[in-house]
Amino acid sequence: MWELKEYRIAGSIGEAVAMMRRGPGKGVYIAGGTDLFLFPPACDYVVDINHVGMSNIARTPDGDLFIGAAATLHDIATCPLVTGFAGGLVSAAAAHCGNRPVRTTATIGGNLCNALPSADLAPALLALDAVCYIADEDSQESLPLEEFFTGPRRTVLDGRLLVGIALSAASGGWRAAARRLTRSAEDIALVQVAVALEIDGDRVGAARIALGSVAPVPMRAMLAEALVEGELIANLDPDRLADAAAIAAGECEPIDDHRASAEYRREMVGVLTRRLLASVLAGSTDTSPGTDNEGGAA
Amino acid sequence: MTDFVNNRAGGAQVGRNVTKIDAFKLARGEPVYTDDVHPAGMLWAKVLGSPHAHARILDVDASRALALPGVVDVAWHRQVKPILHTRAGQSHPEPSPYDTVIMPDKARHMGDRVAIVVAETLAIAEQALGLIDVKYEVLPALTDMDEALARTDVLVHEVADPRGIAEGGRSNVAARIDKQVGDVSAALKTCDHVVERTYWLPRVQASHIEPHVAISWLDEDGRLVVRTSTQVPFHLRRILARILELKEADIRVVKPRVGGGFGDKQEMVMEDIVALMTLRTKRPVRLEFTRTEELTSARCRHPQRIVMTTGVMNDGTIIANRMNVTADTGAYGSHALTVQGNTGQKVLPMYPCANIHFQVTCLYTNNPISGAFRGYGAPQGCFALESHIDEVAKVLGMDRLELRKKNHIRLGDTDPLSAKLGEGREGLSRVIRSTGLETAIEMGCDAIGWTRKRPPSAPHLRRGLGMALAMQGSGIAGVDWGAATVKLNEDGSVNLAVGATDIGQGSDTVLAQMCAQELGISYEKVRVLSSDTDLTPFDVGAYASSTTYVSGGAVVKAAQQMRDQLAGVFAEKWACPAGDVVFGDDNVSCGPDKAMTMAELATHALYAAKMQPAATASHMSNESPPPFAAQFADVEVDPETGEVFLRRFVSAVDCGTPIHPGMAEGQIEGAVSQAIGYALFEEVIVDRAGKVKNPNFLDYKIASALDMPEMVTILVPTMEPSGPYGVKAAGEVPIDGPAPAIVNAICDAVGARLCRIPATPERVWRQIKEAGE
Ligand SMILES: Cc1cc2nc3c(=O)[nH]c(=O)nc-3n(C[C@H](O)[C@H](O)[C@H](O)COP(=O)(O)OP(=O)(O)OC[C@H]3O[C@@H](n4cnc5c(N)ncnc54)[C@H](O)[C@@H]3O)c2cc1C
Repeated sequence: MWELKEYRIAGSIGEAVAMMRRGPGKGVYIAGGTDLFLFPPACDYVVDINHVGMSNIARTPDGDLFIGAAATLHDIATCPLVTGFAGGLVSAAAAHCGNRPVRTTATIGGNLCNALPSADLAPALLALDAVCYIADEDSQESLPLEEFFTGPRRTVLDGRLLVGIALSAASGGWRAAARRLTRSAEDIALVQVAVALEIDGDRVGAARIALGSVAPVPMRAMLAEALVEGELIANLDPDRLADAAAIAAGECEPIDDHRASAEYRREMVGVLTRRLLASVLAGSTDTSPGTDNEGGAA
Repeated sequence: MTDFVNNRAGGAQVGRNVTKIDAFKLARGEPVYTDDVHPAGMLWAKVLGSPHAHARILDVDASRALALPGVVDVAWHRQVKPILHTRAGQSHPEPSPYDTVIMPDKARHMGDRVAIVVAETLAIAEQALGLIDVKYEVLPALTDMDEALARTDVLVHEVADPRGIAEGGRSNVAARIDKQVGDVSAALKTCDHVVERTYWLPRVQASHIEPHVAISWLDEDGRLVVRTSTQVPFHLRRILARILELKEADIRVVKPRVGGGFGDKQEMVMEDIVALMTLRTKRPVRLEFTRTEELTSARCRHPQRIVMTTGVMNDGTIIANRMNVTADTGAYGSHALTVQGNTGQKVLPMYPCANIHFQVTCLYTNNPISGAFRGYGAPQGCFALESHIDEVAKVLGMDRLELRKKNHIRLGDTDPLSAKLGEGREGLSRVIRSTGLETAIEMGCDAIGWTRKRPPSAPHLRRGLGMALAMQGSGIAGVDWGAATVKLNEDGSVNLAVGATDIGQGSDTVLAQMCAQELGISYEKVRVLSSDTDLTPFDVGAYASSTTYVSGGAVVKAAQQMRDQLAGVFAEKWACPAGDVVFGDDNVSCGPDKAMTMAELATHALYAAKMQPAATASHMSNESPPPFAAQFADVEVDPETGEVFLRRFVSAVDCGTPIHPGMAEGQIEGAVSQAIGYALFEEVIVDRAGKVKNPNFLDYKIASALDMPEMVTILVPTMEPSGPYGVKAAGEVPIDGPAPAIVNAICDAVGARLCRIPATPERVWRQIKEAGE
C-alpha cells in the first residue's frame, strides 16, 4: 500500500511546478496514477496535475495536432482529431495500452514521463517527429521527443512539467503503421516498431522507423531510415526493404530478460520493420495485421 | 455400492439454471470473505521469508523488532515444538510425507518461514521484518531435478518421514512409483513402430483472485476459532489439533465465502501460523499473502519431464505405452506421490492396452513448493500423451483423429491401471459404466470444423487445428466421503448443513437443488450452511472433483431419509399407507383428497406430532467414474514472429447429468481459460539460485478477457449409475486438454512440434527455425 503523506492539487501549470519546487523533501506529479500505483515511489508529497487544463486535444489553425499531457489514453484512442491523423497511428498505440479501465485514467504524459523503454505511445510519437512542451515555474521550452528520454525511467524533466505533445500538420499526412509483440494480450511489449513514410508522388520523402523495448530508451533507427528516405518508391524492392530492416535490427540494443532473449528481440525488429515498410508502401495503414487479439479502442 | 438411477422425486429442481445461491450477496459486495470482518483487537502477522533457497537458520535475534512500538510477538523455530506433519489437506493417514514442521530450522526455498511477526498494524509488522537479525549457514541450493537426483551429499530433507513413505535422510526422492500391467519392454520388440519423445511442463500457479488469508481468535470458552479461505476445513482441524497439541473439540474451523482455490487451498498454507500466534498472544491474528508471496511461497503445479514410449502396429493398434515422469515437488512433499500418481492414472487409461508401464521419480529441490492444482497431475500427463498421439499418427502416416478413435476407452472397458494405482496405495478396479466420449468427439469435430479447416485470415499467417481427449475422476474411489444434515422448519423450509466446501464453484447451489428435488420442494426453500466444523457434519473438502458426485450422494440420502420420516407423519395423520405418500411442488399428498402443503405438514410435525423431521447421512463411493472431454483448438500462427492467435476453442464434455448446466459450462470455460495460460504464457521462472524472477502479475502473465478465443462449450449428458441423478464431475477434466490441443494445432499450422510449454512467441519461433533446418 502506498501511504501518501501530502496530496497537493494544482490549479494551473505554474502552480503545479511551484508546488513541486516548494518542498520540503521529494515530490512527484500524479496524473492517472496507473504507473505510480504499480511501483509507488518513496516521496513526501504528490502534486495532482489533473486540474491544470492540460487534458485538451486540439488542432491549431495551421493544422498541427496538440495533445495535452493529461489527455487520457481512451480520449486519444477515440478522438477523431487523433484517429484521423497519420492513419490513426497514435490512437492505435493508445488503444493497445493495457485495458479499458486503465486507459480511462492513464494519460499520455504519464506514459512518456514514466520513461519505460516499453512505453507504448513513444514509438508512434517518435515516428511522427513529436515535439514536447515543457514548463518551468515561469518559462516554457520545447524539444524533440528523441531528446526527452535520457535512460530507463529517466527524462530531461528534473522537476519540470510536461505540458503536451505537438505533431506538425505535415506529419498528419504521412502513411504509417505499427506493431507490438507481446506474450499475452495485456503485457509489456517485447518489441515495438512504428514506421511512418511521407509519400511524395513516386518518391518517399521523410522516413521514420521508431523502436521500443529494444534499447534503454525508445529510439529511432536512423541508419535504416536513411536507406529509405528520399528514395524512388520503385527502387524500394523487397531486397532493399530487407536491407533496411537488417540495419534497423543492427541499430537496436536489446537485452535478455525472462520475457524474451535479446536475439529474438533483434530478429523481430528486422521482421516487423521489413513488413511494416512493405505494408506502408503498399498503402495499408493496418496497425496490427492479423492480431485481433490485441483488443480494440472501444 | 449405491446406484442412484431413478431417484428423481417430483418437480424439476435439478437440471435447471437456478440463481446461484450466493450470487446477490457476492454481487453486492457484502462482507462475506475471510478478510471482510476483523475481530476487535486483531493483530497483523507477517512472515519473514528466507533470502536463501537453502540455509540452516542458526540464530534469530528479534530484540530490535520487539523493541519497535506496536510489535507484540516474534516466533521462530526455537520457540515452537517441531512436530512432523504434512501441510497437504488429505484424508488421514495422508499419503504425503511428514517432512514439515511449523517453524523449520532450515530454510528449504526462498521465502520459506524463518520468523513470524505480529503487530498492532500491518505497517509495523512489515517494518519489524527488517529489524530481525538472522544468522544463516548457507547451503548449496538444489534447483535442478537431475542434480537433486544425482546428489546424496546435499539433502533437502535430512530427517526421514516417521512413516517411511519418502526417502528423506537417504536421497532427495520424495516419491517413487513403478507400476506395470503386462510387459512393456517385451511388447515393444513386437511392434511395427516404437515412438519415443520427451515433454516438459512448466511450474505454474493457480492465481486465485482471493489470496490465502486466515484469521484466528479464542472464543469466550477459550476455544480456538480459525476463519479461513480453505478447501479443507475438516482436515485443517485434524492437522491443527495434532501439531498444536490441542483437542479437536477445542478447535473450530469456519470457511466463509472463498474467492477461488483451484487446489492451492487444499493445503494448510498459513492457518497454523495464525493459530500459533493466537495461542501465544491470546489475541486475534490475521495473515494474508501478497501476490508475490503467492507466487513464491504458496503452491504450484508440479513441473515435470515426461518421456513417452509407445509401441504401435501399422494399422494403428496401440500395443504398449510407457510413461516415465520426473517431477519437482520443490521444498516440501505436499501431494508429491498422489499428484504424480494421477499423471499416469488419470491419463494412460484413455488408450487401454495390454502393456502399460508407469514410472515416477519425484524430487525434493530448493525450488518453490509444488502441490495440488486443478487437474492434479493430469494436465501434465495429458499434455504428454495427447501430444504424443499426434506424433505417433505422424510416424504411422495415419489420421490423428482415426488413431484416437481406434484406441480410446469405451463403455464396459476396464481401466487397466486403476486396480494397480490408488491414492498412494492399491486402488479399486474401475469399469466404464457411462461415457459420452464418442458423441463428444463427433460434436466437437463438427463445432471446430475439423474437416473444413478455414483459410488463414491474412496471407502471412498459417492456420492449424488440434485436438485432445481427456478423462479424470469423480472423487477418490473408496477414500472421499461426505455427510449432510437436513432439518425441516415449520414454514416448509429446510436447513441443509454440509461439510462440503463451496469455494466459488457453486456446490452450495447444486446441493440445494438436489435437496429440493428429493423433498419435492422449491430450491428457494433451502438454506445451506457449509463447512463449519462445529455446525456441519464431516466432509473431506473440495478437491478431486468430488463434491457433486460424493457429497451430493450424502445430500440425496439425507433428504430421502427425512422424506421417509415425513411420509410416516403424514400417513399417521391421514391414515393412509406411508408408501403411497407423494411429494412435489411444495405439497404432500396421498390421493386427491388427502393433501397438505409442506409448511402445513411441518407445522403438524413440530406442534402436533412433536417431532423434528431431520436426518444425517454419509456417502462414499467405491467408484470414481471418469468424466470425458474432447477438446479442439483452431489457431493461427505467424511463422515469422512465433505468435499464436487462438481463434476458436471447442470443449465437448461428458460430466454425466449436469445438475446446473450453466455452472457446469462455467466450470468448463473457467478451466479452459486457465489452461490457455498454461499453454501459451504462464510460467513461474526460477533462476539457478532458487529465486522467482517474475513474482507479480506484471511479469507472470495469466490469461485475461482479451486472450479469450471464441469459446464453444458443449455438454454431452450421460447417465452415470453410481452418481446421484447420474452425475459425474466437471471441475477438472476440461483443464487437461487445452494445452495439447493448442500445441497440436500449432504443429498442424507450421509443422513445428513444441515439446515444452508455454508456447511463447519466442519458443514457437525457435521451434519453427529448428524444424526448417
Ligand atoms: C494494468 C495496467 C496495464 C498497463 N498496460 C500498459 C501498456 O500496455 N502499455 C503501456 O505503455 N503502459 C501500460 N501501463 C502503464 C501505464 O498505465 C501507462 O504508462 C500510463 O500512460 C501512465 O499514465 P498515468 O497518467 O497513469 O501516469 P502516472 O502514474 O500518474 O505517472 C507516471 C509517472 O509520470 C510522471 N508524470 C505524469 N504526468 C506528468 C507530467 N505531465 N509531467 C511530468 N511528469 C509526469 C509521474 O510523476 C510518474 O512518475 C499499464 C498499467 C497498468 C496498471
